[in-house]
Amino acid sequence: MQDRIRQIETDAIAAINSAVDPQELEAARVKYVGKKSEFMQLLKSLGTLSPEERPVIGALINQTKVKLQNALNQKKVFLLQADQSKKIDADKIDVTLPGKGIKRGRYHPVTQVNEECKATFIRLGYEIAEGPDIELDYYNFDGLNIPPHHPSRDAFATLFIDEKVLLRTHTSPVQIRVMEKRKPPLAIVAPGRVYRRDSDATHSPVFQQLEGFFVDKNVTFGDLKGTLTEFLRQTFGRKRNVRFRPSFFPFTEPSAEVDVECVMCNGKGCRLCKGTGWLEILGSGMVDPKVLKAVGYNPEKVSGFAFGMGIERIAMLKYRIDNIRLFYENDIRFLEQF
Amino acid sequence: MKVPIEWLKELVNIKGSPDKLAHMMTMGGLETVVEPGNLLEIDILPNRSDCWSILGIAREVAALTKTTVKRPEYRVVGISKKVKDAVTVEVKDKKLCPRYMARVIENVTIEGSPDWLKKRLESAGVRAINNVVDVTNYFLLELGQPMHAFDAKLIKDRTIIVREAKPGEKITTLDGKEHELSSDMLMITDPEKLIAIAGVMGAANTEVNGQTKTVILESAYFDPVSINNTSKNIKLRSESSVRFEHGVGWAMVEEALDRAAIMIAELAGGSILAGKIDKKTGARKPKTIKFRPERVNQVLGTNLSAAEMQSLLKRLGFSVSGNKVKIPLFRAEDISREIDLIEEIARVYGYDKIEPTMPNTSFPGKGVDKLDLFRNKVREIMIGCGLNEVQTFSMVGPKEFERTGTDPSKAVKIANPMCVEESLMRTILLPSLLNVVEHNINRQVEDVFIFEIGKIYAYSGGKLPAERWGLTVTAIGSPFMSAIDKGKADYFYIKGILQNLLDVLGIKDHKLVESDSHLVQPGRGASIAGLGLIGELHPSIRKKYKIEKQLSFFGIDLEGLFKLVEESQRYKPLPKFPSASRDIAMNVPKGLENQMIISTIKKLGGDMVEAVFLFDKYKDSLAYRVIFRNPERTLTDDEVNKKHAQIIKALESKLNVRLRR
Repeated sequence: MQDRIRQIETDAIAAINSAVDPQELEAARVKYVGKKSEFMQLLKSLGTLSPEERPVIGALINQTKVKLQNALNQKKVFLLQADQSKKIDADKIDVTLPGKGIKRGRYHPVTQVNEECKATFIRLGYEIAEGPDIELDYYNFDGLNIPPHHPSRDAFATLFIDEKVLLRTHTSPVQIRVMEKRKPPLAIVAPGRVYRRDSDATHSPVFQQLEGFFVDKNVTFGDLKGTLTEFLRQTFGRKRNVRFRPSFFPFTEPSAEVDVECVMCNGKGCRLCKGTGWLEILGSGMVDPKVLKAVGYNPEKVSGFAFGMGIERIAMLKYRIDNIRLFYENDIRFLEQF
Repeated sequence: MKVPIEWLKELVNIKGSPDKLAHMMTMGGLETVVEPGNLLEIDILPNRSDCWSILGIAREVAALTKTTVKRPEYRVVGISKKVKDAVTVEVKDKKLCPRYMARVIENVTIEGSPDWLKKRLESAGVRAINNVVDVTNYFLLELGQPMHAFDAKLIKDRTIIVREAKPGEKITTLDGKEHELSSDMLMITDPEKLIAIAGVMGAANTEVNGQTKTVILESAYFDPVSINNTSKNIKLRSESSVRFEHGVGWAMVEEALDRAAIMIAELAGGSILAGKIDKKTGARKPKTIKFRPERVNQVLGTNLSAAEMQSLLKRLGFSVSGNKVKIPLFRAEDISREIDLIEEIARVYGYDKIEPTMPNTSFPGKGVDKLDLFRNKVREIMIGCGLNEVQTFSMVGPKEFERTGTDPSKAVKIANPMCVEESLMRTILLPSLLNVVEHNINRQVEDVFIFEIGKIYAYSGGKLPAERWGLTVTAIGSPFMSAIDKGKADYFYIKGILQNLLDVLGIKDHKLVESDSHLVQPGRGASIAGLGLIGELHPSIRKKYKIEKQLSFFGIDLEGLFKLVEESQRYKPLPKFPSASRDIAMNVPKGLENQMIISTIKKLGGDMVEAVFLFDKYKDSLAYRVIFRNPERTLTDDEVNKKHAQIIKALESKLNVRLRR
């Protein structure tokens, strides 16, 4: 009997080892340790053995059963793992194939720069105001101390609708519109499209400006310098030097042109900055008393500064774009670079 | 303006390198670069008429370097014959010519100028001509006063008349060009002919030539606005007109005349007649302006003493006594107010020395602009839908109206457009986007998914034309990242984008109604709740833009859409009880719209129906899933079945559909 048990064990182990899939393993289990197996029959027949034989054979059967059970379990785990890795193998993909879904769109580069500039001023406490593109000549010129037939109007290369109506040449008319309606203190930025009869690599007949002004009691030229320096450092980098130099605008006095250190050569002098090391970025100045008076403010009681900048110019410097026309051609291959 | 450094050095002491000088001038308000040949190229600000001369630049340099300008002594020695007996001047238009001076030099010999003079002129970029013209040019450059020399013999009756042109009069200028004149132009004439366009250019008929023996030298002050207009209208800008249009120095009219006469007599060997003609209206006297030191500091944010301010102003050549400043005539054009003095103080002190500060007030911002925020939100949604933002010109040409069959009668017209393609303000955004599509397709970029948020313009009867913000989207090609995925930008694709937009904005009630707009292919377009249009572009318009593939688009009025957006968005609690769903499959008659079927099912289902959607479609066979839910409890199968049966029964009779069971 003992021999028979050992024989069964040997056969069962062989069958388990040779099983190649869960089905064969299950067949081996049924055959060797299943309810109807010879082994189970032997177990049932224990009672027929003599009291001396019984414990010896009983122990042997139990040992063998545990052995076979362990072998079955091990093989089962092995086969399952093998099965999974086979499936995984079959599921392998080319991870370099393209992704699915639609391409996400991009913000136009001019919008990106415009929003960044707006956001900087909003963080400083400014609010947004807007005005019409098609403007009365009063707001574009007279209200800004640019009298009719004055040669300084020539500088603006205006597109006219009729004698009194034109396409605004700058966003400064928004200053007048806001000041006419409201009282100081005012801290406003006015973004928008402006128009000039001018077209080459750096001039577009349509372009975008950001105008800003701050009017209150005791606003100083120092405040203008501080505010614009902060803005330019947030835009072009904290370490970049900024300089203010005298200029002329009919609606501000004193007026200042604001330069930042060249973004290309960091001030050493290059083609972009024409060797000067500086880039002209902003026009600014203290709001002229005549302008304040024209909107009904008392220039003795309030003062303010104003500034304006071209968004495309900043975008061109930021992304090193050499032709302003690219912004308005909207070639997808251009737009998708931003 | 070009200034040779060597010439400038004769008028003012200069220390340091040309680059240093240029930098200092730039920081003082004269933007200067050094050019080859020891030349300064200077950008003169429009208000600084006094800087259109080497003398003017020298004054600025002197002020910035705390030195003074070197001025020569001179004295005119005339012969006994009087100028009055040699020439008569009559100024008819005293407004446009407030000062006209003349001297006469007799017995001159016209020949080439000496080398030093030729070289000097050439260094400043002016061509040498002869020993009279060169002298006038010399003082034009050094003193900023243009002068003109006439051959006295060629002037009828030796009489000069300053008057406005008669309409239709013509003149041939020294450069050989003929100009037709209009009555607002100031002319120098003799009793029978025109001899110069005042301040712009002389005529060939009286120019100084090899035979000239007697020269009449003119030095005048002409009205800046008039000269500017004349030069603009006849398209002729000269060194002379540039200076007159900025305003020349009142006193310089005389100094230049005297010094030029002396130099002509020296170089051409002539003799100066005694006296000078000086026809002037209104005496110009230096004005005195007061400044308040505390006001200066208040505006600039500085802490300068009154004495410092006085010394800064003195450096500019102003005579200062206490807080009173006498403005020399050469600065009369740009300094008339206290604020002008404040600017001068700041400029000479140095902008870079003024401490940057932040405004010392609480910011009064009213916060965000809601429409601006809304536009940004729409922009963000469109970007998320895979669309690239474009920005196109606000103006288009008549061709775009023609190509899209749009009525141009309400379009705002530009009176002086740069080109016909930019002559009308757009009334819709679509043509601008179609141009972008065309541009890209011409460059083999065939998947074009774009949108623009921009203004449209139209006459509306108001003082100014109406401007409204709109959004237009166009789609053509495949939107997918991978070319393996096939897809086309048909009606349903663009509608998906519209739906996303409206859903994210929380706009629930919007109806699409089939549209008969000429822009869309019939039967494949709809109007959006009266706010816009969606559809596939009409094939005949597509052809005009040479677009072959199907192109879908929608355009919507953003301001109208903004009004539909719920001001107060409220959260709806998530359902606590499960839903049940039942399907309805049916064959529908032609012309019955999905929108109608859904709204009918919803109406029939009442409170119990939470949602209805189409989940399968094959030809006229549609399958809808109806979601039933009660927010208070779990619905029983019986309730759902009963309601479902009611819906089915009613559908058949109401919509004439054939149910498939």
